[in-house]
Amino acid sequence: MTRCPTPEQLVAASLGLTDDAQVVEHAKTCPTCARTRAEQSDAIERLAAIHQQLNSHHEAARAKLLDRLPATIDRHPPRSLRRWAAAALAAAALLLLAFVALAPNRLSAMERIATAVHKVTSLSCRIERTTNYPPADETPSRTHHDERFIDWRAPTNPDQFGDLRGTTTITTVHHLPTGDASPKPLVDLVEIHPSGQPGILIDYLAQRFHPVPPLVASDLNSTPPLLWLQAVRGQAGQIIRDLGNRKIHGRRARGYEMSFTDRPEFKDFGPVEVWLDPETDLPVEFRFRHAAADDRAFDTAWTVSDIEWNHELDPKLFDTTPPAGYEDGKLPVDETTQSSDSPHSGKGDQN
Amino acid sequence: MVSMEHTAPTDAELVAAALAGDRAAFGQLYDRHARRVRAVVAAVSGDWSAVEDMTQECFLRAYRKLHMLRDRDRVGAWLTGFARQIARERRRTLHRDRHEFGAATDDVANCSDSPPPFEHDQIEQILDRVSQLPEDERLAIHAYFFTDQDANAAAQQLEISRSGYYALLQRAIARLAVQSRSEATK
Repeated sequence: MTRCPTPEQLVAASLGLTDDAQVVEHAKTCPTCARTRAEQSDAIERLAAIHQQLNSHHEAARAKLLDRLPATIDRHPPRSLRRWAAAALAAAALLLLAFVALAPNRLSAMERIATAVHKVTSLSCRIERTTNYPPADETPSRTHHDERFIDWRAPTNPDQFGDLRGTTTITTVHHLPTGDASPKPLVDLVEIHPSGQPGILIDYLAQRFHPVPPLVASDLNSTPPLLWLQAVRGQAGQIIRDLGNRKIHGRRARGYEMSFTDRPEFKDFGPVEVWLDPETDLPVEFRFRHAAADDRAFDTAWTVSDIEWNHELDPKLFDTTPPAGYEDGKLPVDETTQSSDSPHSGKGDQN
Repeated sequence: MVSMEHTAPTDAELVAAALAGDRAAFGQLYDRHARRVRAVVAAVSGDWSAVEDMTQECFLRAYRKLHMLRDRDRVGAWLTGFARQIARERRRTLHRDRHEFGAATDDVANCSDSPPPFEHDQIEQILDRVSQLPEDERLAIHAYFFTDQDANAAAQQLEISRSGYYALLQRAIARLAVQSRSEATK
């Protein structure tokens, strides 16, 4: 073998996944491959040791689990479930009648989504935003990444936005010619808005907090899942394409491309990709992109995942008490982050 | 001569026995599927310190809902669903509460008398590198090492083809080694 094997081939040889004698022989005589193989072996050895350590607790963990099991196991559906089952049977009969009578007018996907969304009581999710900036003059290309987790509870008063808590971290990665791609933390904050009341913004890097006024509609522009939720609740949007079925996190999901040209707050977005759980008609994942614009020198995409709907949220999440020892003050304005240091500050880093 | 060959009970039989109150049968299901669950919660949550807690939580939830399992032969896939859900909850909670609370402790993982095989920072370093891999590669790694480095068993547990699994695993370990080199160079 004259050419060096790929790193993957070397791994296969180290793990015994291949019987290619040429690879093994080559690695013995080639200093570069021998070094790569040594690095791989080191990683394998460490990983084996730490996994083995956890596996070695298997018996203790098993005993602990069996101790914690409830004394009896419920082999019958809960009473409430049985009651629901009876009601569901009656409802199913009615639905069947309605289906036969109104077959041509069956609910469209959009109507099913709207029906499900109107019943939503809470939402927790993860929002990842990635902005790619091409190289310009002497500035190398860079990727700006922020990650936000939001918890939202539907309002009791329909004129309000509900309780909202958003935690945001922002990093940038500079793709320099040296290959340095270390992420640099820029922002680490939490913003808490109890429904219809003033909120608080806590900056963990500066160890400061700042009171903020109650949310207004435009504050939601950079929180795409809430924007989507408000729009669908307001009877806006239409499905423009069926994307078919896909598995997301091991679960079947049905995808649709939705357009919101009738809503001004969506003017910066292209069509929204929504993947729905066919059982609940609620999204398990969203993808948003900026609408294409020739004068835009960057490209931004949002992915909303880890979505959980209609679960109990701890009221403490919306407590606006500042952390002990933090100063009350204005946030430092950094050139790099001034347009994106708030979860509700608009379209992000556009400098 | 009468054959004395012992046939291991199927998953469906163990589920039926557990539903009939046989806790040991549920213990056998744990023996069969805990490694897969550990791999999933480690890969999805990225929180190594809570792997055993999440695994326990997964089996507890499954036990409470065992009567709702329709296809009893698919208990492994069913448990994987719980594992993913618990790991995603953990990832979200961890991020949300990272300033309020310290890292979770795991009393099972800490009950060993044996010293850790590597220094704490060496463990952190390799886990940190693993956390930077894509989720499918993280899962491939954890499945491989939790099944005692049996690639075929890991592929089977993840229900993916052997060749597809090998490719994932090879790519993941090759990447880890490259990360290690670039850190050493710095």
